[in-house]
Amino acid sequence: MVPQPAGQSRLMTEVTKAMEYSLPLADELAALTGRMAGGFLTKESASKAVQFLAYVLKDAVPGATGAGASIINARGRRESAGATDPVVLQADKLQYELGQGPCLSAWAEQRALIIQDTRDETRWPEWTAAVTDLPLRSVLSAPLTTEGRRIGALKVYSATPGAFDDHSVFLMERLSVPAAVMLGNARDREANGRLSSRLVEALANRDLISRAQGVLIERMSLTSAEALTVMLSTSRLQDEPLHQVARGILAGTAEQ
Amino acid sequence: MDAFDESTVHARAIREAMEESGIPLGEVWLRYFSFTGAAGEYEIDAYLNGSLELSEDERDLLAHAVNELIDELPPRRKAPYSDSETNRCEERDRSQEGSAPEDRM
Repeated sequence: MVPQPAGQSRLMTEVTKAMEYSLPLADELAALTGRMAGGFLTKESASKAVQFLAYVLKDAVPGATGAGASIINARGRRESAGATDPVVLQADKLQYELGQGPCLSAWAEQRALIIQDTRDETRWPEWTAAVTDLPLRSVLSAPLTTEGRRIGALKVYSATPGAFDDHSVFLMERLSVPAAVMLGNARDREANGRLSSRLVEALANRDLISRAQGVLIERMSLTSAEALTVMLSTSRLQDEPLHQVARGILAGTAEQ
Repeated sequence: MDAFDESTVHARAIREAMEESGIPLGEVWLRYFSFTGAAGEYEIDAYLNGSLELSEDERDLLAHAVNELIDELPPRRKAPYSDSETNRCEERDRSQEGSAPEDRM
């Protein structure tokens, strides 16, 4: 069904699990989103998550032959964050280039928009003219908004006209809420760049501490838990941060 | 008191210490992670809210993470006296405001 890139097995498991147990998909997705929002949602993992979201969306909306998400902001950023097939990317690219299309309007107007048939549609003449060669006849696009911030739009495409109705809108909106939270979170962290630098610092300290742990294990014939306890007691006793205690232990070995 | 109760009581005390000093979970987890802590942020959250048990070793790492973060908080403002020292103290305090937390990271 869905290709499974390496490293995404956990995320995939969550999505598959949601489908297997046929729990309300939106609830499961919300739980998954929450977990990612609490953990490390880097730009990379967010875009992978959106990629899976696109597949979920395609499966969740009957009649959809393609799905994707667009990240749009007022400063002119317009990009596809996840797509199930090249048609989605091509149609998106045309929207961005022409500056018109259902996703841009769904984002700007903050409401779901349906194109029943691209050949009869009159609202985005340049775009509908540009997509006539693509296997694309009907479109549904809904805005992605979290806490009042407009993040972008989700869309599903179909090769047959009249594929989407109000129920499709309902299904898509159930997914757009957790998706917006997920993407909004990724954008926050991307914006201030703090998480990555702090994470690097935490990783560096973690490495320092485990290296010191290794020194103590060897020097004092301790288990790894005991070695950590020794460092923790030293830190408490000397009122010194743990990573400094670790640095001291490592400096001690360097002198010897 | 059995092991589970102990773990729960410890969790509550850690959570209260965090709340009292306004230290967010994300900060605590990041520090705990840097201490070679093995549990994820969600597990820590679950532990602090009484729905998951942690080993004594992990609990102590967590407590230590919270305590380090508390130690790094800017000291509380003290009341000034009426002698000439006060004005200088006040000025010094003001110049430290706004930069203290980042400087200490």
